[in-house]
Amino acid sequence: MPHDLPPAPSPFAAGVPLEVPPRPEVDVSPIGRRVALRVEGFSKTYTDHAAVQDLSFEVEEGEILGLVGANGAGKTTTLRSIAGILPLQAGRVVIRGHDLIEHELNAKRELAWIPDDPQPFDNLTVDEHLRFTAALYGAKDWESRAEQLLTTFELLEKRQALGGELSRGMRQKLAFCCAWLHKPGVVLMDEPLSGLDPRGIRSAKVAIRDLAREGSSVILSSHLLELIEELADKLLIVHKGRKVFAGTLTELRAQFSTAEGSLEEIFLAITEPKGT
Amino acid sequence: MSGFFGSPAMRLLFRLKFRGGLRKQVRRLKEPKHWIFLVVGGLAALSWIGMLFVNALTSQRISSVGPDVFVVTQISMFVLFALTIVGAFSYRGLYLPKDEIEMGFSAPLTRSDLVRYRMFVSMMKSLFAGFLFGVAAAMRTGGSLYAFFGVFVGMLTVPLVGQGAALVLGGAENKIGKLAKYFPGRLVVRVGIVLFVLLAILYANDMIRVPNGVFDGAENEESFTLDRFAAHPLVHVLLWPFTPWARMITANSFLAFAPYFAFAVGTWLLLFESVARIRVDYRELSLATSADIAKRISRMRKGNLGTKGSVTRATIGWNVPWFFGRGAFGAVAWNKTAAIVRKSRGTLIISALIIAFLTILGTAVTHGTQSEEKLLLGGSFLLAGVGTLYMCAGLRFDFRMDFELMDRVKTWPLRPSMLFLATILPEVLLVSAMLFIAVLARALWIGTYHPGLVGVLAFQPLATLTWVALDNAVFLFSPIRYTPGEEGALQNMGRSMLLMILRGVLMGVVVFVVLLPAMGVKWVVNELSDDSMTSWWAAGAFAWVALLALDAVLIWLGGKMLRRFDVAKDRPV
Repeated sequence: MPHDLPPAPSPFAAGVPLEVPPRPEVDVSPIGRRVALRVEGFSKTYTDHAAVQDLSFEVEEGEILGLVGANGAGKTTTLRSIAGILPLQAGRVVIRGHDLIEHELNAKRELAWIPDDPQPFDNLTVDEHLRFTAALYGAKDWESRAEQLLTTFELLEKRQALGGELSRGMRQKLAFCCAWLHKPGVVLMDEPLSGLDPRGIRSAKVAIRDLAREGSSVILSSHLLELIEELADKLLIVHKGRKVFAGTLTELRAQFSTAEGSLEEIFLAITEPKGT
Repeated sequence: MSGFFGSPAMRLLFRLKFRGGLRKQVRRLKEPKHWIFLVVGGLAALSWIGMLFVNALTSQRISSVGPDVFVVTQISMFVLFALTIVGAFSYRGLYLPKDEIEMGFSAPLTRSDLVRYRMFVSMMKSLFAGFLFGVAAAMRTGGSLYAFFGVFVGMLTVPLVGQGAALVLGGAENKIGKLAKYFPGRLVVRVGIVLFVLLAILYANDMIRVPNGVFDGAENEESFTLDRFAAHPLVHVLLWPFTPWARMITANSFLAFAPYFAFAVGTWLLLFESVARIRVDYRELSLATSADIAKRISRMRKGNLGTKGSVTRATIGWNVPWFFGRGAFGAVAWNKTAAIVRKSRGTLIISALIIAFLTILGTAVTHGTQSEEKLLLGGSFLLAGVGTLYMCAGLRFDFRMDFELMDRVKTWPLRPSMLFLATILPEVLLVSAMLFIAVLARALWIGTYHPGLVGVLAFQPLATLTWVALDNAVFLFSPIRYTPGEEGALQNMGRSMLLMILRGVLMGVVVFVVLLPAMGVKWVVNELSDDSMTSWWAAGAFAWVALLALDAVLIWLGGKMLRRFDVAKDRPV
């Protein structure tokens, strides 16, 4: 596996401490597989309401986790907190053995975050975005990988286009390329396929699977339940900030006593407002 | 910790962004119109800077720096730093633009790296201001070079002070809750400025005196001098920290300058490193601040800084009547009226108060200075004219307000000219109603009548419609908005100037087309009836109808411009 130890800090990496990074704790799941992301007792409260309450889950290496929930269920808050955009209010997040609070930079070096509406730099070309991302994450020999990603996401012809000139779908594709560039250990995706054309969706699906096959773990948050059903190895269903299910689709069907029901039917059943 | 200059990746980002900005300008210049904008804007900027230099050169040069100059420098530095610190209440935490914030927070960067990067960006933006102020100061004082470098270093210190204050305030908010958040920083600054200007005006007009004994030895106003003012214990304490900067700027020899310059540079370095090391988790504050600033930028693009970005629950309860019927035209006009009532109540109230204040002040000051009839007519004419221009400039409840919704507006099932009229009509009627009340109230107060008053009241709504229609037609013709801080400032300045000239020329054409034939009508009627009053009435009626017809043409033109508007192209820079 490429992620047994954290990579040595590159002189190009931003904000890299000069001292040797702490050795990550070995995190193993009950069935003996290495855990890439562990979230324990995570809660987040805004001024007037609790967005997420006592959420715990884990994602193993090479696993794709489908994060599902209605609007306002706390999915984006969870992803943004794991990504380090929001401060961790309560609970613990461990990414590839690095605690997000204690070893923030090492944890973030293993991460990639793709928001639902990526905002590229208006005046930077596609190539310059990749160059900057490589510098930011200390990626070495990134040019060939960048070339490969641009081909996969059909951005080769757009490599001199400015960020401000890209359409929504192109912005999404560029976000994929930037996220994939440094071979992250954990990729967080919030509605990643919105804005993509059918070919783009196909490429993204293949790329997500390939990424997982390479050993990266993926958390995929989406309202497209068919997509989740197709790609995810495991599911995490949240409702009003609380976990209502974590496991495989087979386990979900078993738990809700339906052998053939689609994810959509089960999801609607368990998140149905009371009294309807 | 990373080094003094922060993360290498963020330095790369700065270089790439800088190069990208230049590249964008070069790409724009492929179109000839952008060359024209650049030339016009460049000439305007050069003439402005030239005027500044000429003014500085022709003003009395200070051969030996006296205590007054020293105190003025101290006070200037104090005011600059104080305004910066109070302004930080609006920018708690660290401001990051939308393309940097999520990237910055999720990337392996320390918070110190991000602070260093933003301080570097702010300082780069202050370079031009530092240069300009430095040159102006150099020309006004004896030791030119010393004043230049002094002011330059001072101006580069200001963004660091602002950033430090924003982080400290952010830390305070994290610790003591929302107290800091709700401190009305902007309001304090505005009230302070208004009070200062008011006191200055009153003092300059001998309407207030400095009480005896307030300043050391000040037995009467003649003995009030700036150095005595500065000697007051409280003032002395406030100004004391700025002494090194004042000594540096007003130095007249290298020996007098060097130690203070070294101190200022040292302070700058120390401040930069200290601010970068402030340990505050500013992420949530920054997300809120950045969202707030993004809204403000959006409002600036609409030319509508005074309106709120969102509707409050209290205003939703207001029942907005359907003045213009229940059809498509009525619906568009109702939508606009509701937006005015719900989103811009504060702006409306302030505008109404200003008009009331101007009416009362204008009438009180001129009352009894000339015949009441002349006073009534002249004042009403002035009030209607200036009021229209002022209110239409301040209340942008037109297409600027809908700028970011144009793709939706374009789909509404209404003829473009009708859509144009329905959008601008509420603003026109609102401004007209307020001015109608003001003009009428003034007439009642003076207690006399002049037939011309009917003319003023009859023409005012049409004149407002003319101006708003013309202004909006030109806006739709070239709608790209610019906000301070964006690249292409010179081109935008040139573009704005050309559009201003276009508006002026079109307005001149309207006035010419209305007034010239009306004067002809007056002459003919006067010749036929030999009655001056009848000829005035006839000319007025003709002008009114002509203006109405021209307004119809402008609305048709506005509809054309609306049809021509391309949502894919005509959008914010």
